Amino acid sequence: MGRQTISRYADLGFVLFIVLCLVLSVLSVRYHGRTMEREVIATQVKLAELHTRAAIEHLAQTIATVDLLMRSLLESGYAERSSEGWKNTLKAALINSPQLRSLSLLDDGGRVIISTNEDDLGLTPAVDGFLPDVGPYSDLLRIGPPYHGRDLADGREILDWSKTQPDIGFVPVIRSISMGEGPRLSLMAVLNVDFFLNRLSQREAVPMEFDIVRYDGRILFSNTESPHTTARIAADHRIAENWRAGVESGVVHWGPEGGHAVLAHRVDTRLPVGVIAHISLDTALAAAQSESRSQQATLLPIIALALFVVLVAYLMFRRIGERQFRTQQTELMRTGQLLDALPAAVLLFDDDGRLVLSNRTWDETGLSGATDPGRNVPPMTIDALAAHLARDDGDPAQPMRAVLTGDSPAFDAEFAATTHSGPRHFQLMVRPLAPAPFQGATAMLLDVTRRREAEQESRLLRAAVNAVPSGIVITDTDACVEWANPAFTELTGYAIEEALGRRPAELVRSGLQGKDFYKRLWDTICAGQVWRGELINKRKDESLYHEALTIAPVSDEHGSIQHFVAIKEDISERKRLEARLIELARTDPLTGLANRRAFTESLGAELDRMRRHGHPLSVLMLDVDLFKRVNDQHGHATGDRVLRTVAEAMRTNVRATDALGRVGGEEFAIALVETGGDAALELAERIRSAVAAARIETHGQSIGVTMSVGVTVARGDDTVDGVLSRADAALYAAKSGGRNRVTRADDGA
Amino acid sequence: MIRTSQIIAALTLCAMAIPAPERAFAQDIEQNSRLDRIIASKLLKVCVWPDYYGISYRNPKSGLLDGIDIDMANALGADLGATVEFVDSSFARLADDVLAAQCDVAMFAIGVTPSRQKVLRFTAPHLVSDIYAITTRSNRRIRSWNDIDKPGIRVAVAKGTLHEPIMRDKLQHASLVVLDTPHAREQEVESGRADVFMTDYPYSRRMLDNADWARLIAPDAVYHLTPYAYALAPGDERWYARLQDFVATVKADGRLAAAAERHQLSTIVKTR
Repeated sequence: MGRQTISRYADLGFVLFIVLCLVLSVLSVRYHGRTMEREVIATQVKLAELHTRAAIEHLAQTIATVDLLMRSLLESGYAERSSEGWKNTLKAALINSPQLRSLSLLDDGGRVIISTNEDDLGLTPAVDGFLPDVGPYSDLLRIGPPYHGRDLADGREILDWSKTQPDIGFVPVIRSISMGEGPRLSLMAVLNVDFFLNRLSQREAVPMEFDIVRYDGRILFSNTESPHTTARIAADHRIAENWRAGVESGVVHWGPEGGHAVLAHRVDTRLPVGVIAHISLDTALAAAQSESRSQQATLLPIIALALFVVLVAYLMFRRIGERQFRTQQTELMRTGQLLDALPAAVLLFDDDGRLVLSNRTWDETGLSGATDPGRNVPPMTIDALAAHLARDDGDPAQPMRAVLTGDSPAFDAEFAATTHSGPRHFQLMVRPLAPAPFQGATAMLLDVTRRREAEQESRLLRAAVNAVPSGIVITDTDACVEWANPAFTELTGYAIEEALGRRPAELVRSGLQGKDFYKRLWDTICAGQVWRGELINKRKDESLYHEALTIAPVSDEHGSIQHFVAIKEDISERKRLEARLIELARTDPLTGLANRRAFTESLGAELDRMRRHGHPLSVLMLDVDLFKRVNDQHGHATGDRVLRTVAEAMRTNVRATDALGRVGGEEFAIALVETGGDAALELAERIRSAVAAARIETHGQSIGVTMSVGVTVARGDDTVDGVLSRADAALYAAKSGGRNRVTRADDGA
Repeated sequence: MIRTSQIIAALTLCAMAIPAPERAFAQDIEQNSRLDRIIASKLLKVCVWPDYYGISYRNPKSGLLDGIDIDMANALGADLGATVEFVDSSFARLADDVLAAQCDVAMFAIGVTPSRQKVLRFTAPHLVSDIYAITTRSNRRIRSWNDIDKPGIRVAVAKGTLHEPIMRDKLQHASLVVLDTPHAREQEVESGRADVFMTDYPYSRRMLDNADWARLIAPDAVYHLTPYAYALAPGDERWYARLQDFVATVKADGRLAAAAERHQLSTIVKTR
């Protein structure tokens, strides 16, 4: 079931709940109303009983007092009281007796002879309808029927209560006395019914109607001001019948429809009068119903409003909740995406070590078993993970468990594990879950196979580089050394620690290369090109050496130079061999003088210099006279010694700046720099004479040789061959002239 | 208002304090004014009717007098520096008691009627009351004021009260019962021998407060207003002037109004 469906059901349920609440409220208010009605009825009945009891007690007490008064008046006044005395006594008896309207003394014949009301005098009131019915005159108090009027004089007996209601009324009571044979005297008291009605009418707050009823069912007086209904009169009669049957008090429900009215009644224990309270339930209930209606009218809107507020609040909270749920859902999704995007496998274990959350990377590690859908994969636990990663030097389950239980703050290790894609290396980090209340642990598993391979490769490369005989230096862009191999130390004498952070230039620069050299170097490498060159550097012990240097700039992916790699090779030995070879190629091995090629090169250079500077240059061509003969007579060894002697003689007579060479078998040439023709002739003559004077010992005999010399002065437009041929021509002339002489060429000088 | 009355009071006091030649002359004429005797003896005798609820009523439970005119009499005694002695009287005996000098002044809200004015002298009235009727709750004949003056209706009044001549004059159909014993009016009505009795505002208040059976019948319009005042024997001008001054003073300084408020007679108090 979707969340939407659930929340829709929840909404429906809540609305139903609200409706139910409303219905219950209505029902309970109704129920309360009914209860209130029942209570009102019960209260009214109870009240009626109480009032009935109070009324009958008051009535009986009052009548008993009247009886006592009458009895004492009769007994005390029977014998001797005069008529004036009776008059005063009766008048005094009325003071503070509001229950009495008048007191009258009746003679034996029942005629009023003395009265407090003079209007009553002479009347003979009827006494036959009085109760109890014990004869017309008795020493018992007898209660008469009801009268309409103020007193006996204007009184008319009330016979039918359904016809009229008296606006003023009274009830006469009579008590007689007769002693021996004496005349009977009677006292008639006119009871003021208003005295009782005043007390009954004080119950105005209660809608209760009282009938004071005689034992025979006649209504004596009533607080009802309208004529009685016949039903009520009949009811009073039935109650009186009950009284006579012995039911002296009680509550009776009566009425045409039954239960519309209630009456409470009680008859006095001694006097033949009782009180009947009539309660119209309609009146009593109307008040309760009106109260109930007003409660409904007040309560129900309030309840409805309250429930509406609750409903609105529910909807508001639900909307807020929905929004929060969506936000959380989004956050959860993003968190999931974030977790899935992590290169590391992330696993979340609960405090029992069961896997509760993992990311996609975990499934991709091949350790989760998710690739074997056919198999029933046991639930992943922290122990199962440990088993995957078990290695020779110990089972990681124990330390991993320790993190889970909080005994250990962390566990880190690297493991090799066999996955479906082959053996892989993993870095494992186990951390406790913090903070509370979620206890457990996270495990992060990072596939470090590539890193391990790279490290391996890097190790191999490092070994290889370290093994290379050439010095290799890696610098930053400021040319400060970051790394160097052992060969560098071997080459320069500087330990790697000494070199780090310093520039190679500070260490090994010999000063033999010019500024231009270095500028070209920097221009090249800063342009991102490899520079190759040779130069002379200085070791730590100050000795110089030749170095073949290759500098390659190393750029990052954006082409920006990050490092320079310099490969340094010691080429001193090669340089030395090369120099030696060059020297061999240019020197005559017998005499140590320049050979013909080297000499002509030197001469060419001198000719250039002469033309640049304007200094004179003279060239001498010299040839040993008759050298073939020496060789033939004394052997080649002697000939070689002769040539060495001649060369020595020439060498001692020229300056170091002059060029000297053996240009043929016994032929030599000399270039005299900054030397004019005359000076050249003079030098040539000095050499000729020195040679002529020289003696060579061979095979026990001393021999001597002579030399012919041709001299010429170089001209501005001369080539090497030109000047040499002119000197050669002069030499030839000297030979022709007789040898052992110096001849100057016709060079225009 | 207050300022004016204060000025008047001050002027009056000045007139009292500094005898003008005319006053000195009058004093010579009336040598034996009650005022001198009262001040000299420090005793003020006041006639009261101890059944006059709210005016001068002796509480039967404590025997102490209470009412607006008891307060006023005490105020007068205090103003004169005299002790007040209350002398029981009634409307029937009023003239006799006052004229026989049983008391210096009668202070029990005496209705100013022409017959009384013939024999007594009255101060300025301090109360004014209409006539009210008291009947029983259960009386079915008397529902309103108009039901009173009907044939067969018996109307009770106390002898000597102002109501006696007024009702005798006004009633045309109902019969008047004049009673002279204490509380006879109430008993006649309560026992049903009479239908109503006529009384004034203070006494009707007493009936409503104390008798459960009593029902007030008020006139539909003003029936007969009677001013109430204090009575004294005529002839003593200085005593009369002093009493008039006292009445004016208690009206002006609020003592009368306060006493009326205390005894729930504010509706009939006359403070001007």
